Amino acid sequence: MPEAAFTLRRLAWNNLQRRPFRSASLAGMVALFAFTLFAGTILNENLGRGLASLAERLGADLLVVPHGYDKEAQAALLRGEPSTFYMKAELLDKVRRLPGVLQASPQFFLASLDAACCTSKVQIIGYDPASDFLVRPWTRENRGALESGQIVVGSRIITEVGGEVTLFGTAFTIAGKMEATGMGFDTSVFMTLDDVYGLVRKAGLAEGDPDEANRFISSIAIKTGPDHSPKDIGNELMRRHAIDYDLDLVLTKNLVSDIAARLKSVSSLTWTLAAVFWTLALLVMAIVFSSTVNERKRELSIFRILGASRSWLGRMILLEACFIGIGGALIGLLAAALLMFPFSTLIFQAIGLPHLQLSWGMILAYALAVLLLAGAAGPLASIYSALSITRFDIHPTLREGE
Amino acid sequence: MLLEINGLRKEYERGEHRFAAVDDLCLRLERGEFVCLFGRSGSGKTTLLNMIAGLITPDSGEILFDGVGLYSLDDPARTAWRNEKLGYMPQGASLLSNLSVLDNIRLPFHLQPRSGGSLEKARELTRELGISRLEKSYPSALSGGEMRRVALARALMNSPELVIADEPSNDLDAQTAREMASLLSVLNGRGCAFLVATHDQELGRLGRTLEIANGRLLDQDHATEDREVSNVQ
Repeated sequence: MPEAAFTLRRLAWNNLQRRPFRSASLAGMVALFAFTLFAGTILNENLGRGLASLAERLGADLLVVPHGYDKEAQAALLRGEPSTFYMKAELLDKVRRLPGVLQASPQFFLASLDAACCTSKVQIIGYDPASDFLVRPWTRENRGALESGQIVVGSRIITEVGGEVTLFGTAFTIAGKMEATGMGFDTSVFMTLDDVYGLVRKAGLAEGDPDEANRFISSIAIKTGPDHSPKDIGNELMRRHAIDYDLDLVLTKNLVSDIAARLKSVSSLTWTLAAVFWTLALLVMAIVFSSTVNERKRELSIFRILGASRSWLGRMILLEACFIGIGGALIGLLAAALLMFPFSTLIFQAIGLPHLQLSWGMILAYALAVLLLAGAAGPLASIYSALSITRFDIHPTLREGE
Repeated sequence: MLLEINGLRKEYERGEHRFAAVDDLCLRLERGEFVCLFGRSGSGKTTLLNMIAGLITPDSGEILFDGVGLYSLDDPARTAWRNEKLGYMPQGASLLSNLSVLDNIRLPFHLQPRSGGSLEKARELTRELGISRLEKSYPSALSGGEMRRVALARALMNSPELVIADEPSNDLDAQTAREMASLLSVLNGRGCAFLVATHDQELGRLGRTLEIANGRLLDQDHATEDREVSNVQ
């Protein structure tokens, strides 16, 4: 029969098993830190990438929407929440004539019924491919004009380019798929304004006369000239047309800075919690290890008597701490992964901010970094105890009966 | 000569005054000899044994083992020496509670770098000491006598030249104490030297006896007389 291995690792593991509650509690502290750091980092990075994408590619400086619908417009833009709101289309020409307006392009928002492509309602956005600068920056294919009967779908809508989707009984060919935007666009469907008006007419979706649908739009995206501030143009627009058209404005710069501020607070919370948990784990482990070493002096003396060197004992304590650190880190990482990956859609929906998924390579790199940092908590916390073992005097523990 | 001790002294502080736990002590122990060390609690027995085991450094004097000064070695070398040449049965419960009987016995073999395995030797010792059936048991399941046998087997694991036993029959009933004495006698008969600190007269009959009081060894003849008088009283 092969001889069972008798190693330092096995002894250290045995020692931890002998005190299961203490070992599990310490590993739990490390797990809490690893969980917070990993989940928080993934969350922050995803949100950060979403924000960067938004700031980099959102071509519009201003969005004009009907009065009271600025929040809905933001929800549709950021989270893809299906919204339906309208204003008169004739405003578009007036906006284009405003000094400082470089480009203005209209959109028409329509919430779909459950479509074959999707598990829930999607936001249908009619846009004008000729004047568009809102959708095009994220379009991979079909950078030219979108034709009637064609649609472009968001990155998270599960369909293939060239396939067909039926919306309100009308079949559309998928001409292109957008790149991931991290925004509501990812779950939206884009078609020409004429097609969306056609849907409204055919399905009788609008209140009043469906044939009059083309007299309405939901929003106007405005790109301002380099010498004009979006705020000034917005003020001028409101001064001239707010009363006649009952308008509201969304300044995209404010939108980005609002998101950045919220992201900063999420990020601060994450780092603060992680730092608190790390410090706490370190302190508690240091105290527990130190008191345990005192409590184990008799046992450690026996090891010394039998011929264990001081460094061997120190290594055993460090190894116990490593097992706790690495074990706790793995538990924390696993718990964070089990929460973050299957439920990411729900989590980001609840947060309501643009987000872009990190690559698996980056996720792995962060997991390794967290594993190192959390795993190091154990050995760091036990250094003092390990060193004190190399100095402690075993004689008093053996003099009990003298 | 296996062990030679000359002018050994160790002082401790108790409150504000210092006292000598071991004072100018000299001792010689031949190979294969059985020596019993008698003395009252606090007489310096354990301090002496720990200095011989290389666990505490004396203030003065020398301990020569096989002619080599123990305290001329640095700590790692002295630790390796203890592991190889010395078996130590500490006083009281000294088994590691998270290791089985067999692993407790094997442990000393694995504390210093060595080639080969420990299982065969450990099993041989459990057979010899009549504890084969306990190999897989844990210390919490053992009686006092069984624990002492396991501790003895562990002390013999690396085939030491000297076994130091601190009160090996303490707290044992008379029958078990006699069995322990008989076992030590058999093992001593195979050439292993023993230095035993004890109060047990049974063990005293196995070899030379010494008495320690106030850290000094008494004259051997006087010591025997004193002890006999004490026993009569």
